[in-house]
Amino acid sequence: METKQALTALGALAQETRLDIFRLLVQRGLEGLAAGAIADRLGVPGATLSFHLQQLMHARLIEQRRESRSLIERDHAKSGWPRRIAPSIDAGCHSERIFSIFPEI
Amino acid sequence: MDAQRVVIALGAIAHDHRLAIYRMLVEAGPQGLPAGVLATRLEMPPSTLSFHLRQMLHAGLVTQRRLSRQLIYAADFTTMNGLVSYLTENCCGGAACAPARDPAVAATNVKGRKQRRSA
Repeated sequence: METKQALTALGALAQETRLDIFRLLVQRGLEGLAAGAIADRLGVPGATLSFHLQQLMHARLIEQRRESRSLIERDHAKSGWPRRIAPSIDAGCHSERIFSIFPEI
Repeated sequence: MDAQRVVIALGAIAHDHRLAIYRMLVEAGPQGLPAGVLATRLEMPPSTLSFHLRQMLHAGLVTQRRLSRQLIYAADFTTMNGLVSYLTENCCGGAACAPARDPAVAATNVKGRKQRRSA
């Protein structure tokens, strides 16, 4: 991981709500969670969650995909959350992404 | 490690100078490095280095010990392991994680997804 990218990732995680979101998604795995479900579980208002998700996506710690066909997604689409959020898969396992920030482990 | 300590520790290393200091100390291992050596290797004025080391001490990322007239700093590996464990606790609900991908393959996949989306 490049230094600049590591700094962005560390900075993004150095905030309690984003840390909670990230941990929730790491525990969920690559299957991910609908944005609405994240908001419900963490008790975070939609607009606040959106802001933090943007920061985490910018840091490439998570990614977003649309899954309009799934029943769950249809439910969330009705409530204005037609998105599923998962840890970033471009870097492979998200644990490895975290480990790559810390050298020599 | 609790959330508050994790946030403080991550915030402390989310800075280019402090990340550089931290990485150098992690590489040096438990024996650490004298402040003077860190300053020379990182080409950092001693006052700047000292400021950053204080922040890192406060965040529990490094330890400090005195050896005659020298101050030796070392990475606190307990904190580092605590940070990593906190972030990856119960990763993927305990199931096997996806293997790491080659960056080139990942780039192709991104392109593939975008093409599918626009199709």
